[in-house]
Amino acid sequence: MEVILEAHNIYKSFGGVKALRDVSLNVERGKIVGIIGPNGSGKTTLINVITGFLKADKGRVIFEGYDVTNLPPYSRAKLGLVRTFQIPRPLTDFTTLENVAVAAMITGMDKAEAYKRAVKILEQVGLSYAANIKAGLLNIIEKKRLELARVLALNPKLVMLDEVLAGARGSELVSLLDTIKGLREQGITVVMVEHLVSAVGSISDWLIVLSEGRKIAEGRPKEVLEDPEVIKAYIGEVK
Amino acid sequence: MFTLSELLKYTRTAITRVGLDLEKMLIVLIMILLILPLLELNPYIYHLIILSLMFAVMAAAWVILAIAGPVSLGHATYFGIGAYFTYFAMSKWGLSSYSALMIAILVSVTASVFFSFITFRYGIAGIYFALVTIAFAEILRQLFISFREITGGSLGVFLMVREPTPLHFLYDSKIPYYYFLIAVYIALYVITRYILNKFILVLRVIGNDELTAASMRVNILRYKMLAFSFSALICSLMGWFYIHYFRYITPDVAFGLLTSVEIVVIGLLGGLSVIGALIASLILIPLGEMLRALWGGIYAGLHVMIYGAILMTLVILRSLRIKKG
Repeated sequence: MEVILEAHNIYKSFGGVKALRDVSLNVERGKIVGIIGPNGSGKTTLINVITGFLKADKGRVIFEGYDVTNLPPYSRAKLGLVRTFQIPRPLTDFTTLENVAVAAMITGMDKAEAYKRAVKILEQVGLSYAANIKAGLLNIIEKKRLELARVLALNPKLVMLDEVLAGARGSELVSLLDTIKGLREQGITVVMVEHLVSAVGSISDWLIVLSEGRKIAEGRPKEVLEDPEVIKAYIGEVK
Repeated sequence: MFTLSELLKYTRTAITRVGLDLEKMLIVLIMILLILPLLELNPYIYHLIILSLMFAVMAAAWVILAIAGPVSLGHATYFGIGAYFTYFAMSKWGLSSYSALMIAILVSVTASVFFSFITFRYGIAGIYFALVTIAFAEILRQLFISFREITGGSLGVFLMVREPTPLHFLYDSKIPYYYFLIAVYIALYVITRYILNKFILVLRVIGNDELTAASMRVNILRYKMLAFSFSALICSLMGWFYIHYFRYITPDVAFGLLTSVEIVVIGLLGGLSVIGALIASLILIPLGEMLRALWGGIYAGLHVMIYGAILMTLVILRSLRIKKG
């Protein structure tokens, strides 16, 4: 399989805190890759480094064969490497529909085309009913869907989802998972960072586990979740 | 008898019924302004409208930057550079008025690119950005006061008066200046509304959330610098206009905090829109001038106090309206 994203030996510290220590990973095109780990294991930092919102102290990021290590976030986004934010950041002065349409317009579509596409995307993420509401008024789950919608409007090749599932329960969770599977069917590679293991384990093709800034395991979800190292990281050592 | 709240309610229903289309209102307002000179009113009235239009254009220019986030409290800088370099080009280097305009624009845009690169590249934002803009204007004001041989010092400079001729944009009548500013305002409105509409949209995205904008492929530094230089260009055009109209300028007017604050107040009261800037300035500038003419000579400071009280009332009314949505 073709590798779309590579990270080589990423290091990142904040003052004395070593957030990432020698993290490397490969992501195959068209797959859903889950990155899990306890709180403070460096998951969001890894997204920030890969998408360019933070500069790594050491290490390289390769996207579709290009070395993007020194590119600013907007250039990486132009190449098709886009992200969502853990705490959703909608454009609060705009309606839900406008949020998505504006993103489509920035990719170069004209206004009419962009709105048409935005309507379709809102349908896809299940937000059509809230199209004309100011985005600031949406609830947290709706805001997360809007993050997804905006990212889709940017014609991504790879999306990095920062805890989109957090807080979702029952039917909400099921429909969010369906939406994410839909992305894979569209040929978009998905890297999703999650704190909760079960949901992400069920749809990922590959799982990577971080703990205290290190990659401690990776592989097929079933194998990884039975790995004693991983269990130790999550619930502590069994004496 | 109506109570005040009833009256407000009826006005609101009336407005919703007719449909408050801002653009139609603007067209009516512009038409009135266009036919006003036919009435041959007291020249002082035209003078007040000219001042209002000038500040409306500068406030609109300030708004273009402000919608992307940065609040400049030193926008007079680019107005001042425009005025002084027009003076240098015409009186010292003997150039025509229109070559002077090119030089004025070139210098002020260069200054704005230099200033905006330093501030935006190194992430100076919010209150710190506002402070730095004041500092930059103050530095220029002091420089123009100090280098008396070149700049005329604190007394300012007179534009060498040639025979009033259209070739040098010098007229005896106020009316050509009046129409010139209306044309500039209309051009600015059309440009921001219909030609640069996508650019303005991206600026609004940046003003909403910079991180989201960056994740949406927006090169924030480039857009903010473009907004800043476009804004500076328009302000320098007004500086060029000012020195032709008054034929006189001092560092205190050109780079003074009062000029900058006037621009900001009009831009803010106008609700960060180009139309709002015109309406706010047509109210505030004549009000300030008339209060000064009425009471400025009687009790020192009285007109400023009344102006301040009216301004506070307007701001409170505006914020109430925003809260109600």
